[in-house]
Amino acid sequence: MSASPVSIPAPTQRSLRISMKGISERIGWGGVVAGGVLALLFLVAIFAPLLAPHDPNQVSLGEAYASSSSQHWLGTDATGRDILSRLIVGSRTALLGPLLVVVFATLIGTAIAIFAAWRGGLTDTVAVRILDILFAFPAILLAILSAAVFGAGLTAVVLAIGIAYIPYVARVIRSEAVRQRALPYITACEAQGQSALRVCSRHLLPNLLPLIIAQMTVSFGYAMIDLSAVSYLGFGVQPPTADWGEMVANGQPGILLGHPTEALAASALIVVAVLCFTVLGQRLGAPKERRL
Amino acid sequence: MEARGVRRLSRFALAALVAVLALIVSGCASVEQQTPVKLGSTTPKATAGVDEVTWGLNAEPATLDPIYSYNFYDDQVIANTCESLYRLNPDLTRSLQLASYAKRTTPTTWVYGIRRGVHFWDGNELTAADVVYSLRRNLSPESYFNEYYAEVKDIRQTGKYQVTVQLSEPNALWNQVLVVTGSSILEKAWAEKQGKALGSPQGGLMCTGPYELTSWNRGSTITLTKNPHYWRAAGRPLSQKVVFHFLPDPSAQTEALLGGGIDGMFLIDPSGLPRLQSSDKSVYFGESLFLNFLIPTALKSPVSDVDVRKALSLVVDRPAIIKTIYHGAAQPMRTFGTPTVWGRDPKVREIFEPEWNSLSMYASPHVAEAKRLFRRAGSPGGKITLAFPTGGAEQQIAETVQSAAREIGINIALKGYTYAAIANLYYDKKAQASAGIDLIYAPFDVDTTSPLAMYHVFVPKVESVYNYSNYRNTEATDLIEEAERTYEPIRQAKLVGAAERMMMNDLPWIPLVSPDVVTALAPSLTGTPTTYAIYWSAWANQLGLRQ
Repeated sequence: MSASPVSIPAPTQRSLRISMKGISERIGWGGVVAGGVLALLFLVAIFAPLLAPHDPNQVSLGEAYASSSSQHWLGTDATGRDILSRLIVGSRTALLGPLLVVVFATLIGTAIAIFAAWRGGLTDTVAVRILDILFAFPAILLAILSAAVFGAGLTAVVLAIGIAYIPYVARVIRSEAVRQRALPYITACEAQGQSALRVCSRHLLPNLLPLIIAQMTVSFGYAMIDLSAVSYLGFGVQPPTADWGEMVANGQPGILLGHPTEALAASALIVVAVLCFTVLGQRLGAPKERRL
Repeated sequence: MEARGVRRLSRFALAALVAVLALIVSGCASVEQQTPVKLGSTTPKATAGVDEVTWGLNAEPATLDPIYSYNFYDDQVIANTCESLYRLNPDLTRSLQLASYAKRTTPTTWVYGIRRGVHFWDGNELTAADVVYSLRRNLSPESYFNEYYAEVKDIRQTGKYQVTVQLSEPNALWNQVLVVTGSSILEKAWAEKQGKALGSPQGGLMCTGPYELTSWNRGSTITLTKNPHYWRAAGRPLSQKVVFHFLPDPSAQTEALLGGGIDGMFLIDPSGLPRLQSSDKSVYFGESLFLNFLIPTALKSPVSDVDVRKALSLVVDRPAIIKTIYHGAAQPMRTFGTPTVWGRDPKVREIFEPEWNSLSMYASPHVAEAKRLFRRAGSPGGKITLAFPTGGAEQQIAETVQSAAREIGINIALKGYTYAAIANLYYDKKAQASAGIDLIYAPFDVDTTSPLAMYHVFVPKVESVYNYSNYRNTEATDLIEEAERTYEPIRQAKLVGAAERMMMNDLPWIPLVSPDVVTALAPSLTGTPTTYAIYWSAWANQLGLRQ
């Protein structure tokens, strides 16, 4: 009996090099526009102190509800603070909060997903059941509970929402990881004697990366809504720190008094940012032929 | 997450649409701010009753047991159902109510005659035993009014219609305590039978007031029904039923009033005032005993320096706060009270006026002087953490104070709490310490027109829970204690006035503003008082149709 030659596929390692053309082909024009808007918002957030025309927290009761003028382009709020400056500076917490949530949830969720997929069997079953239990807790409810226990503020709320997002990330990544785990290139790596850690970090993870990035982008939009809602309820970013969600709440009485700019502008920015993240996330995660 | 995301996006798109519609409907035509307001004590008399009045409360009471009522929404219900020996009139003076007479037989002995022919809702007659039982309940430390009863040695029945109260020492505040809800008279036998259910939706109340508590649906409504056998002819209810709805959200209060969901409400959030004033609703403003302060809580912080406190007080723009945040419905504070707290006696008012006038520097901001004082204090660095209730006028005031303080170099960090969470800080020093706060925004009230009642808080033997920073000035508090022992009003006022001057020099608390009582009524209704009296005495009984 002679041994027949066995064809072993070469282990693959995705290239992480990114070209603009490649990106635009991948996400389509809608994705490029969404990405552009988001890039602009992040730039505004980074350079907010330089861009804000006024101190966002400077109260001037004599100028309460001032209309648009060359001094205050979007007018002022109920205590005379410049709305444009608050929107610009508010972009920092509005974008930083979701970023922290997504990074936290993705790190933990991806680790759980890969570990469960790699080990399979009982480990996978237990991990899936735990994730199912976590699914039962709405993110906002967890955030409110956490704010009640640890006090209102961004830290406790970000942690709570981050924990609530772990199962959403882990579920999606795990499905793909299980599929990848069964592919021949993983078997090949194992046959070469590579350690599990090396296979996962050098081969499996890079192949999951597009999905992880797409999932992070979509989750960013959801996290933004949740954090804005929590700030709107008064449990998130604390006054007088500018934040879009807090501005929607703060501007609510103004709507009824005929001064809707604060609430309207902050709401519009939340909608635009969430929409852009959702579009970008869907484009990154969708099959190429469905992109427009 | 896909379907969830689509639903969420739709919800936000809808919110955005609503906001845009609001912009279109409002046409960007802002409602003008109106200042200042005219204060009154009553609305015009009603000519006839109605079948049902729907009334808004700022929140649902936790209990209607009088000794556990400390919220104004509890008091508004209890005031129409239960009565005390005295009542507070719309002009904030006191009159005998369930007492037919009150005599001070020795400096420490008060004898009260109990009015005959007064019946509880179940038909049983009011007796001295009911009065003794109800007042004695406040001797328990559990009563929220226990502090007022600190000098009561004994309360006993000395006749079928006579009660004698023995004090451990003369106390000029004692009789004033008999108007508050904690001193409401319940039927003894009935209350003992109810036990812990007293004041709950299941247990209810048994009192002598013009309205009977007939139902309380948790989370929904409280219904009071006319007591047809009410003893006081002039106070017999005009309208058959009063139904209370709970409206904690300021926007919901305004919308419910404008849309006719409720016929009236007291203590409306100031943010809704301009719209109500420009509608067909009747809006009234009345004198209050609400006093808002910034109170230091930490013994060692920059704010424990008197010059820092004075500097902070000097940069607060009280007129702007009243005009912009309260839309004119508040009064500035210079001392620990307002002219309303001095009472009606012109001779007493004359005593407090000079000190009030001498503090004119707090009538408007004085930034340069504030900077000088802050420098004199050594410009202490570090943050002062200010706790405040979020979401209303208090938040805007806290932000205003923070911004003004920054102008003179004082660094204030804001720490917002929900109303429920901050209540814990008001009563618990340990909670204050663990929260790491230096100052707390405290909406305070004095319950009665007497500056003595306010300064009484600082008397060491009272050990008031509100003296957070353990302020001590023995010279001043000795004067207050002497004033408490003095029944003669002019001498008492002089003693309090002298103590006030010393305390204003120490400025243990920073006085801010005193919000008015705001009343909004449907155009067809009238008859309620419009002052602080609504919390301690029946107000719905004269509510009815406008001529």
